[in-house]
Amino acid sequence: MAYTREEWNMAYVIAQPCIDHNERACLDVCPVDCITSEAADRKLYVDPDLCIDCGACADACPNDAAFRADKLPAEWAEFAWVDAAWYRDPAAARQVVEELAMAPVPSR
Amino acid sequence: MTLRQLPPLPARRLPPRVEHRLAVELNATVVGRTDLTDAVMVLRVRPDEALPFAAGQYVSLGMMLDGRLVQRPYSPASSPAQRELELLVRHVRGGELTPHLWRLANGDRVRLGRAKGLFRLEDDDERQHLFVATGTGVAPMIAMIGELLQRPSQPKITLLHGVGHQRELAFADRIGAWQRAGHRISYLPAVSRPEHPENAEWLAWAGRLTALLPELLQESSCLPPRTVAYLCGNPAVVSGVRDGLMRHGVPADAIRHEEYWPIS
Repeated sequence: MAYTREEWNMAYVIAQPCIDHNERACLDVCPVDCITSEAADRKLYVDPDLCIDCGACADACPNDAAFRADKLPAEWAEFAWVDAAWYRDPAAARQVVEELAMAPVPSR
Repeated sequence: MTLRQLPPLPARRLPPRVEHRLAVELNATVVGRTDLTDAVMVLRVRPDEALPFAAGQYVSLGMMLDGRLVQRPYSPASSPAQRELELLVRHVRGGELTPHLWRLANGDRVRLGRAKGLFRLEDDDERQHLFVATGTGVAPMIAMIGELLQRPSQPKITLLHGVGHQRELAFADRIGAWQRAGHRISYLPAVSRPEHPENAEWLAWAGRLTALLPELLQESSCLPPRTVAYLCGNPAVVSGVRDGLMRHGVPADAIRHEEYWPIS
């Protein structure tokens, strides 16, 4: 498994269902302000260096888009890279989001 | 695209506007502490600028450790009208932050984040208010009770507080002062380890809140259909008390809860 929590130190990940949704309910509950995006972004991103693994974002998300990294559905595993990458190079992360946004959303 | 096609994570090179938003500023000063036990303290912190919050919400308390901001959420027990925040902190052995919090002294600088969270009172709610807390989960309830006492029409208030050791009954003196001032507060503290030597003088309720719930509800003359319940603390106890309250007729939508996972 390429995207384990140990590798990226990633506690929570925001996946496909966030793309093009703007409820931003997670921002109102994240105790450590570790979720960010900019005007150019189509989703929100969890900063793995700040996330404390509390799960408030997952409870609050109306789109069920936030997952603990070890519970991230396999078809969305790339989003662990995307979230971590955004806090290093937002443009590189955005480019991957554009590609992932084209993928059909699996029925769940 | 497959996982293997993604490149290694790039080096951190954020645009300046993003770096600015993520910049860490130590923005508060420690102004006092009261150690209740070796592992529980009330820490008083004064933010440089007033930090607005609603009773029941949490703020993050952080320190710079090895060049990295490490934060954990705490719900202030103090009134939102007060500038100084009172935070009830439990020491977690081997934890990432709390052992460092234990070394804090007056004058030390820390980071306080914005208030967050949906665990809040409703305006003009005249139902009987039942608060059930374990351990440090009592902190937001003290702020909430303080706010209810400011309202022109005060509902009946019951607080059940479960702890391991009686010295962990934080804010019991404040509740006593409220009662002596004539406020209608039923305060039912319980220790879960009555056999422990530190609890030798304990003569009141003994056992876990989940087991004591029926007796405590009877003692506080709680009337389930006209009750709103706020639960905070150990997730297993919160879940057990929630089930117990529903069996006693408290509707699910009248039960609010906040779970304190073991934060380190």
